[in-house]
Amino acid sequence: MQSESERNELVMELVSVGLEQSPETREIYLRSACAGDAGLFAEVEERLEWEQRMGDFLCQPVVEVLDLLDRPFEPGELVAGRFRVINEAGRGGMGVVYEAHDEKLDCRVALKTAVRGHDNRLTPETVAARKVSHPNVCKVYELHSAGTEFGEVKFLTMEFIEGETLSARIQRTGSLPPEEARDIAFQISEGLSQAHHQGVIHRDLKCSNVILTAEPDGRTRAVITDFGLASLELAGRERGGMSGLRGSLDYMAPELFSGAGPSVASDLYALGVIFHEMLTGKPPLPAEESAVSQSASTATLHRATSLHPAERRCETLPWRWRKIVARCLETDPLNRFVSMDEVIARLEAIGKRRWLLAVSAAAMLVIVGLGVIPEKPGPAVRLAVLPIAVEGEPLPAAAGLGVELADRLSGARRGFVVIPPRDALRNRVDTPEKAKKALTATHVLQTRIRNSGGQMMVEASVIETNSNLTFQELRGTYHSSEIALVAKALTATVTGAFRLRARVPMEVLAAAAYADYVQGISLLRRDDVSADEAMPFFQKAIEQDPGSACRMQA
Amino acid sequence: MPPPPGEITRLLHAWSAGDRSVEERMFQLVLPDLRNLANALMRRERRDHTLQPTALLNEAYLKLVAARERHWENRHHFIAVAARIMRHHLIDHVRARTTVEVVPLISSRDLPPGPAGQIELAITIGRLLDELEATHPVWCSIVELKYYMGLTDQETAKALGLPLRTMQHKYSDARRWLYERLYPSSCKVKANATNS
Repeated sequence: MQSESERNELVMELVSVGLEQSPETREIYLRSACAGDAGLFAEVEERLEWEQRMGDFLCQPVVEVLDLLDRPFEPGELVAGRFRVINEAGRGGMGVVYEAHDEKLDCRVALKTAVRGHDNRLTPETVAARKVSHPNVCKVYELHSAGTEFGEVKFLTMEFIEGETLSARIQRTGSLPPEEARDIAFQISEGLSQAHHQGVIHRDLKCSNVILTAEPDGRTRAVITDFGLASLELAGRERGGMSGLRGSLDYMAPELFSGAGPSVASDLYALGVIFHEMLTGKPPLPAEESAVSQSASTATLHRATSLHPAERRCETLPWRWRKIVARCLETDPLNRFVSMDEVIARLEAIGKRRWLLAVSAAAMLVIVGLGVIPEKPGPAVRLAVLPIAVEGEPLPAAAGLGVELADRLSGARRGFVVIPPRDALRNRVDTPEKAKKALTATHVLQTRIRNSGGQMMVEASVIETNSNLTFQELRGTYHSSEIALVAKALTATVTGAFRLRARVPMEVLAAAAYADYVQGISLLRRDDVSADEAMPFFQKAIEQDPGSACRMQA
Repeated sequence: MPPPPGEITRLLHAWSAGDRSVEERMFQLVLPDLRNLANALMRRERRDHTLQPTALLNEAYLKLVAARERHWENRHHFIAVAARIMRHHLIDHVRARTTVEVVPLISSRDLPPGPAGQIELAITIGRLLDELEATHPVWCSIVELKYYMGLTDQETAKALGLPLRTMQHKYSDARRWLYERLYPSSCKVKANATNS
């Protein structure tokens, strides 16, 4: 005996086949398929008839109708007697964006429409976004309105930015090279920082709200758009709640799920997700999915991220980025960075370390003037550059001088290894004996500077650690401002001792800038925190010598 | 890892009986279902819809949390409720989109052409579904998933745990029920014609 549901399935099977048949063959087909079951035949026929009568009734999904509604303007249309619509340029969370020509001011603009129900949010948007003026934030001009068949449509005019969104870019090419990611991260951070300083929170930061545009000089400018959900932080609008939940799920900070209002911290979380996407092509693993895999867990969903510490969500990132992104993705907003300025400082540190690599390579040959070029192999040498001992008045540039010297000499030829002063310091090495023991150095460069009354008395020796014999010596008196000369002299002492071929001096960095430059180098090398303090010295060096290669590198 | 069979139902029962301790575990398990619904929406989007599927999902999730006291039968019931919430949300969205006065459809009145007519239809069907929900909740869910959210037959059947043809059978019944209420005169004329 056939159950009712089995029969229903049979009926629908026949109906769906019947609908594909031509009216002429349908009846023949159905009669044979129903094999004399008159009741079945009648039911199938009736349903077929109904299907034909209803036609495409309810066949167009409402979501698609909405899609049609989203386009209040047509290309070619003159809107508000002033804006000639050129094209639909894209869509945001609130409406369509059109490219248009402002016939009054004769310039290209973007018109961003707001669908009804959203347009009450346009005014605060204008107020908020207009307050922010920054190259990495889309400029908003005015609020206008125009009549359409669906009633009045409000729209914003704003800077037209030609390019693709960051999300489109990631979709197209996958993850970005770290160098480019850093550049874009930096720009987004700068724009966001400016907004935060002016009390504006983005609220809906995501890759599709960042446009990458090519500048005339070929560089990429990243522009944050769609401050559509931005509110005035200080205006104290009603906080969060369910209606405040408007951002996209992946970018939403955990606290937003439990009703907390958007904040600088929730923008920071979204920024962390953007960084993660740029570097890996994907947002970090959603907290709840990682929680599902831990079936024994009774932790709450909102706390699920704690099951999956922020750092573990960043495992796939390049190591330089892990800490920064993890800190943005912290579950507890209090554990995130305090402000965008902190993020920017960290991003600068990433850049500086790269910059340093470039500079030290260049410095070896070029920057200070007495470059050393790699030469054919000689006997294996491990030269420890000992920290420079300073007597008399302090000489802040001394530490950097040693570091920079080591940089410059390393790689002079194959088999010529330079051990930087940092290693000597770490191992408490201050004599040739100790250098031999702790660092297996074959030679040391020992330098003492007596600094007093504006004069530096420099004594340096290259000593062989086996025999404790002095190989080469330098003694000289220099003016306190002539630290660059000291560097040159010390380099010459070493190259002379080991017969390294010295390049023709090229004064690329002015002597006056050298002291600041090496101080920067020294700080940069010490650790992450000090690295942040190095920039002012480099900037000072650049000020002293605006035309230097240093500037080009920066 | 899929949960052991029946676990969601067990959790739903415990939850509606007031056991808060199972709440988060339960949502961890059903969230992928909700995500699938949102993904079905996402799939059909050409670029970005103004109505973000994730926004729809957020809304559904939050309202489901708020509806804790409901008596949950199983995960399909849960999905059905999510679909209902999404339908209400879509209708609110549609309403908010137009200043055109929406007149409830009455018999023998033709729909205005174009999107305006489609909006009217969506709103009117929404009202009829409120009525249909009482007698045929499954029909109602199917209309919500297919007509409002644009899921395919397969997706709809899977979401509600029905065999494909069974779902199609019920959808056909549901459309017919709605059609008869929307256009009673045309149905009557047709019926007379058939009789004579």
